[in-house]
Amino acid sequence: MNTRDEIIYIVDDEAGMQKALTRLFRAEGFEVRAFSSAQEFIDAHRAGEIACLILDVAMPGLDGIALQHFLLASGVHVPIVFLTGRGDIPMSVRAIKAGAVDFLTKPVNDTELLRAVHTALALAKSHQAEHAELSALAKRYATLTPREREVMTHVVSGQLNKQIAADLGTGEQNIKIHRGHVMSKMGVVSIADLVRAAGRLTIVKIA
Amino acid sequence: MNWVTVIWSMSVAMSLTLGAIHFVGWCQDRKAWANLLFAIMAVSVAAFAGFEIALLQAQTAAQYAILHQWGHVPLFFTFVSLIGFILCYFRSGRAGLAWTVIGLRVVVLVINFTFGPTFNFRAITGIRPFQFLGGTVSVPVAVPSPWAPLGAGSGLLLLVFVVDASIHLWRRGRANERRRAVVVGGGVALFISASVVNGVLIHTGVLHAPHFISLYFVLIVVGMGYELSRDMIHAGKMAEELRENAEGMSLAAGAAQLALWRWDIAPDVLWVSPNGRQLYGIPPGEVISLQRFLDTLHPDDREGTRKAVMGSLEGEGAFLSEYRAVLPDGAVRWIGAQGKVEFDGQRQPLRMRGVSADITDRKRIENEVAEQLRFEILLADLSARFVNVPAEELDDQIEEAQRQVCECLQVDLASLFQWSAEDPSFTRTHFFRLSEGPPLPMKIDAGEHLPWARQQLQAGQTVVFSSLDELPPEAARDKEHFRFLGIKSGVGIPLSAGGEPLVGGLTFNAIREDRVWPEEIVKRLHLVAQVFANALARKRSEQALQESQERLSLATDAAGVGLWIMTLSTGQLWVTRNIRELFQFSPEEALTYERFFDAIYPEDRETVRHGVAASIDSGMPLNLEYRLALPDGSARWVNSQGRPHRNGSGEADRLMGVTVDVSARKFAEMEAAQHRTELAHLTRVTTLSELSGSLAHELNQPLAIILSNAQAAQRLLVQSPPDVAEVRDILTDIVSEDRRAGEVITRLRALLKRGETTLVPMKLNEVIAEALHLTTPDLIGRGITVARELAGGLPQVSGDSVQLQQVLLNLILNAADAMAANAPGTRRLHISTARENDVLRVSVRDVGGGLPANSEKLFEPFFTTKSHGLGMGLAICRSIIQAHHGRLWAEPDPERGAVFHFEIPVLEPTST
Repeated sequence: MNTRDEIIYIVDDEAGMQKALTRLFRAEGFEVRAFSSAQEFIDAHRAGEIACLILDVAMPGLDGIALQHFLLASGVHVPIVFLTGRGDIPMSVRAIKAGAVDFLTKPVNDTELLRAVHTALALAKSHQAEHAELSALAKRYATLTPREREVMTHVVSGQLNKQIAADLGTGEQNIKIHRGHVMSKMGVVSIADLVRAAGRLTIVKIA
Repeated sequence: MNWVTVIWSMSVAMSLTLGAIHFVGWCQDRKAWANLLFAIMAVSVAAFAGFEIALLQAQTAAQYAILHQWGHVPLFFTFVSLIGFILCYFRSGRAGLAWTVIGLRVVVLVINFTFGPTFNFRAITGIRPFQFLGGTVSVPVAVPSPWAPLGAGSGLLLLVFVVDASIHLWRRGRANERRRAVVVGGGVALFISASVVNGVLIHTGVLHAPHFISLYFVLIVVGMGYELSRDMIHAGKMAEELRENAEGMSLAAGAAQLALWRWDIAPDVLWVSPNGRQLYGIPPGEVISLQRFLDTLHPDDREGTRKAVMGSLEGEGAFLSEYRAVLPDGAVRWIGAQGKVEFDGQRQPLRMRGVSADITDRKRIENEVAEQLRFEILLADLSARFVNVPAEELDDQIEEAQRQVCECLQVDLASLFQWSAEDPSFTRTHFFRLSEGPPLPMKIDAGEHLPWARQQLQAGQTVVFSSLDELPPEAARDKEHFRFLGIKSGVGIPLSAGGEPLVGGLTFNAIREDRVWPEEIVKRLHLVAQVFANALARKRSEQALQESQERLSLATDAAGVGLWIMTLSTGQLWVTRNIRELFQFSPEEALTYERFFDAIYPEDRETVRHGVAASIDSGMPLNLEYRLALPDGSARWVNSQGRPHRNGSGEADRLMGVTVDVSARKFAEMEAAQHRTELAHLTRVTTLSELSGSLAHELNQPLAIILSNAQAAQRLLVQSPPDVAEVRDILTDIVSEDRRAGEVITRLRALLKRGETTLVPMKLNEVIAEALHLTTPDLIGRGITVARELAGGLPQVSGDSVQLQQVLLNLILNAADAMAANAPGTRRLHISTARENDVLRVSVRDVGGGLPANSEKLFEPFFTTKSHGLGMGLAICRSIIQAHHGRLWAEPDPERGAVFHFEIPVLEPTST
């Protein structure tokens, strides 16, 4: 079933709705945290969690769409599933464009809601994994010497050792040594892997 | 010497003497023909007398015959001259007779010299002595001629002529002429007859005496000479007196500065006293003719003076004229002359004597007085005329007045300048000039060209200069500009009216020559300036007033509002144009309160009269709605609002306000009343459409909660072990939410029900309960406690529960609104039902702010006391109740607040 480290946040001003949704998700084994206003959610949320947000649109104070924008601007990556009593198409389009996972209207069917929640959590998970991989790569890249970084840049742009040696004004043998260090320090076994790592680190020079 | 010699000699001498005297008289006055004729006659008589002396002393018959024959010649002349004298002296006598006598005497002369020896004798045979007067005289012995009667006949005819002439003279009736007729005529007649009788007597031998007639003629001559001498002596006396008078006159004239003159007409010689020559500027010694005199005059006066002179010669002889003499040095002098023409016996003008005097000063004073008088009259006329000059004619009138002033004072140029703060240069707005000239500049940069004059005028100072030399040194530039404009002298008067800032100047200029501006004239010109300034100021204020009225009219027209002002003392009414159009008054018609009153629909007149009177009495604002009965048969609804205006002593003197055509609104109201039911439905539908969004949400919310709860329960139930406690909680919530949804649906259903009035039997208390149920949460929220006092066992009514509920909701919510301002705990709503005979009465009572003075207004459409709301609620409620054949009204609660009642007839009046 679901693991305890996946959290479902609910923000809805209607107490009855909070209660019903909480019951539904708990029955599915999720950890649920329900709030009646956007502000309460902002205060309670912690970064690094695998979580999704079930968000009501029409609320007193900060409404759902405003909260979505606030989170984007703050760099908080929480997949959002909107749930609204009165939704219109322009509003749903805007919400989806801004990265919402889904835009559902009340009353909502449980399977539909749970599917959206799973999608959202998967997204959150992949976000988290990607984040972890990227930070590992960055750590490796930080161990390279400046010369090794230069060599790596030339390698991933597809140059032969001879060409690199000519460009950097050194011997081909030296380049081979540097290249070996780069491969081992970046933890890759093939040039293709090195290119992929460089792409994720956005250091690929587009020829 | 004997007596005959003495007598005859004396006769000759006397005749000659008299003849000589009068000949001399004729010589002095060649026109005195009577004197000449008398002289001829006297000489003829003397000659004849001489012949007679010779005859009386003749020695022979032949001698006697010759003397007798030639004696006829002087006798002939005596006859002729006598006739001539009578004709000339008497200025009467028949020419026919005269010529007959002369003809006879010519015949006598012819016979006398043709047949011998003489006319009187056929033959003279001898001479015989004859004793006469103590001496011996010769008498002829002769045969008398047969012609002798002819001679006597001529004498008789002469007598007839003289008598006839004398009678004519007598009949003219003048005293001296009558005397002349008696003395001369009578004498001549007497002596002629005597001589004739004498001759006849001698010839017939009755009288023994020598034939003599000369003595008779001598006597005639003496008589005539006496008379003629009298005239001469008289003339001499007159001449003497005249001379004395003339000397006296001369003295007097000198003292009175009168110049004497005499004009002898025939020789055209003008004698002028020395001071006269000085007067006319004619050097001493120069011979003066009439033309020379006329040449000294001003060219314009020459012809007139000549006519005056000639006229006096032809008329009664009086000459009176005033003319200007131009002296050699060019000076002009006014001279008054007076003269009298002297005529001769033939009424021919001989000479004219008169006096002249220098009347320059008198003329100048006369002219000044006349000019001043003309100017005063002009000023009076201008002042009177300008009081009522219409604004559009003012410009023409000012220029006309300038023309009159210029012509009256002989000023060359009059200009009216205006300036303003925006345009400080002088703009010549009105001008007149006596003569054509080069174009005048219409705009003068006064700061540049007339700095001094501008400064003077703007300081309110009058500028006066007789000549450019009088201008002060600081006016050098002004002087230069005046010279450039050709102005020699001028007056400039600042224009100001009633203490208003100076806006112009009135100027008068002399161009032809320098001119003195006496203080009196300048004062009068000030008056002219004042008249112009006042008129201009009035025109400006009239224009401003007109503009402001037009603007006001525009504004009120645009707003669709008409303004009116009624003067209470006169009943006069001033209204804007659109009111005239609305009331169909003609544009020019003078309006009064009564005229206005006539335009009102007869049934509304009393209301209006009462309303107006009440407003004036109480000072309260006026607000009336009434109908007009228009001439074209149409009807309009108008609303008039106004208020009385009080004067200083606090009395209302005017009523002023606005009037609006509210026909459209009124007609709409009537239409609305007809379709009130439809309107009620429409109102509800509108409310519904507004509510649909929130109603959907209201319904959605519980449904969503129910669904989610139910699905959660399903999931809980498949778990093992199922969490039964949780499921129970879920079910509780589901029921709660379901109820909530049901309430929403119930409310919605009621509101969604069609608005047609379908009257069905129903219980009124149930409708009330439902309405209260719907509103209770709201009322509780507002802190209002509700007290019901519903009578039991009420009969059914015929009604539409939705519509009655609408009425009740309205009354309940109005009551709640009315108590919103009450302190918490004092908001109490009381609703009761009761039966009153055949109707059921529902009363909704509050303890709020109460009702407006006229509670009926509440039921008018669009009347509202709330800051929001259409003001249609109660109007629709009333129409709903009326559709139920009932009535709805409001009254103040005796204690506090208001009570709304409605009554609906019971369905079965007889049942209970």
